[in-house]
Amino acid sequence: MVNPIRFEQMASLADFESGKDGKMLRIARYYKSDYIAVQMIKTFFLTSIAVVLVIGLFAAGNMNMILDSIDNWNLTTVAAVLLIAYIVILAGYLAVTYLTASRRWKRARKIAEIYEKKLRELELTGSSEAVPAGKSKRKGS
Amino acid sequence: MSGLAEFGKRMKIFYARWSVYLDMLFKLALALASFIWIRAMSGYSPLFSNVFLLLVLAILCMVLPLTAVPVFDGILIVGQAFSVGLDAGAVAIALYLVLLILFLRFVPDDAWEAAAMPVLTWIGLPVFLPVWCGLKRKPYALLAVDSGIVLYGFVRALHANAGKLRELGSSAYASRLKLIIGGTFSDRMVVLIFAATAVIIMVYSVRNLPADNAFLISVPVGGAVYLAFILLGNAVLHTGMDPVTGLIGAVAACLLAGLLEAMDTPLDYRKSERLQFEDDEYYYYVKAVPKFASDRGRSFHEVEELMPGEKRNDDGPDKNAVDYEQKLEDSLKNL
Repeated sequence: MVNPIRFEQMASLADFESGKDGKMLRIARYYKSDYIAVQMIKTFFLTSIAVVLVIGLFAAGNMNMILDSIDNWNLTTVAAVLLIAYIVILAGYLAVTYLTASRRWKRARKIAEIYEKKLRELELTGSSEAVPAGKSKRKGS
Repeated sequence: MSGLAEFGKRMKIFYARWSVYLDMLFKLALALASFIWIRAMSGYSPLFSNVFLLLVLAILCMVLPLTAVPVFDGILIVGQAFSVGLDAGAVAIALYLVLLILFLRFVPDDAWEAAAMPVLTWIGLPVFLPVWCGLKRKPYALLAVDSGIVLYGFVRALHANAGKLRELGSSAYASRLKLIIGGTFSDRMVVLIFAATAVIIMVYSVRNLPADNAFLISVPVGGAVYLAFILLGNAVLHTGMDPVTGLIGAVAACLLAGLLEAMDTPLDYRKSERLQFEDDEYYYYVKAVPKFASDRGRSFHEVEELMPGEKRNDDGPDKNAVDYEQKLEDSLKNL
C-alpha cells in the first residue's frame, strides 16, 4: 500500500533532483577548490581561443591598412602590446570566473544541505512507517 | 493604478493555470519572429530561407528549452552568411564563438534576449528590452542584450552591402572583410551598444532606489538616456539616426514596459507609512507600503470568477487596515 507521506517526500525529492536544483547538487559533489579550478581551466582555454578570434577578426577587418603599414611597424612592440592585452583580458575573465564559481558553489552547498535534510526525513519516515488510518500495524503484514 | 494591479493579478492567475502552453506559445512566437527577421534581412540561401524549414524549426523550438532559439538563430545566420561567401561564413562563425565564449557563457538564463533584441531593433523598439531587463533582471543581462545588437549589426551589414559584395567578387577578401566587419561594428551599432548598456544600468539603479514609485520613474529615465545617446551619436559620430523615429520608438517601448511593470507591482504608495521602533539591540526605521486591497490577504485560488448573482465579499480598505506597529511588536516578541 502506498504511504502518502513517503510518496509526497519522494515526489518532492524527485522534483528537487530535476531542473536547476539538480545541477546544483552535481556542483556540490565537488570540493570547492576543485570546482573553481576546473572552471578556471575552462575559462583559460576558452578565453585564449576568443582572444585569438578577436585579433583575427580585427586583422581581417583592417587587412589593407595592416599590409600597407606593416613594413613600418616595430614588431617587438606590437607583440608586447598584444601580449599585455591578452594577459589583462585573461586576468579579468579569470577573476570573474573565480567570483562566479565561488558564489555558485556556496549556493550549491546550501541546496545540497536542504536535499540531505529531506533525505533524512525520508529515512525517518521509512524506519517508522506510517500506516493508513483505521488499520493497525501487524508483524508480517 | 489599482485597476492595473488587479488586471496584472488576473493575468498571473491565468498564466499559472496555463503556463505550460503559454510558455510554448512564447517560444514559438519568439522563434518565428527571429527567423522571419533573418529571412527578411538576408534571404541569400534558398535552403535557409525555406518557409517550411523555418516553420519546422519554430515548432521544434516550442518543445525545446528557450536557449534553443538563439542556437537555431545562429545556425540560420551562419548558413545565410556562407551563401554570401566563405569569408562571410567564417566571420559569422568567429563572431558567434567570441560572443558565446566571452559573454553568453556567463548569462545562460538570458541567452534568449540575444535572439529577441535584433527583432525588436528591426521593428523600431530597441529600447524595450533594455528597459525591461533593467526592471526585471540584473545588470549582467546587458551581456545578452549587447550580443543581440552585435548579431543585428552583422546581419544588417550583409544586407546593406549585398550589392557591393557581389560586385567585388569572391576573391577580393580584404575589401569584402572590411565591408562585413566594418559594417558589423559601425558607429551606429557602437552607439546602440553603449545606449543599451547605459539604459539597463540606469533603469536598474533608479528602480532599486528607496523612493516611492521608483519603478515608474525608472522607465522614462531609461527612455531619456537612450535618446541622449542617439543625439550624442548624431552630433559626435554623425551616425545619422533619425531622432523622431527614435523618440517614437522610445515612447512606445517605455509605455509598454511601464504598463507591464505597473501590472506586476501591486503597491499603493499613497498609503505608505513610516514607523520607528527600538528594542534592546536595534533602532528600527521601517517603511511599510501596503498592497492594493485586491492583493491583500488573498491567495491565487481565492480570486475566482463569481457565479451569476453572487456578490463579491470584499471588505473595503478601511476594514482591512492593518496595525503595522502592533504587528512589528508582535514579531519582535516572537524573536
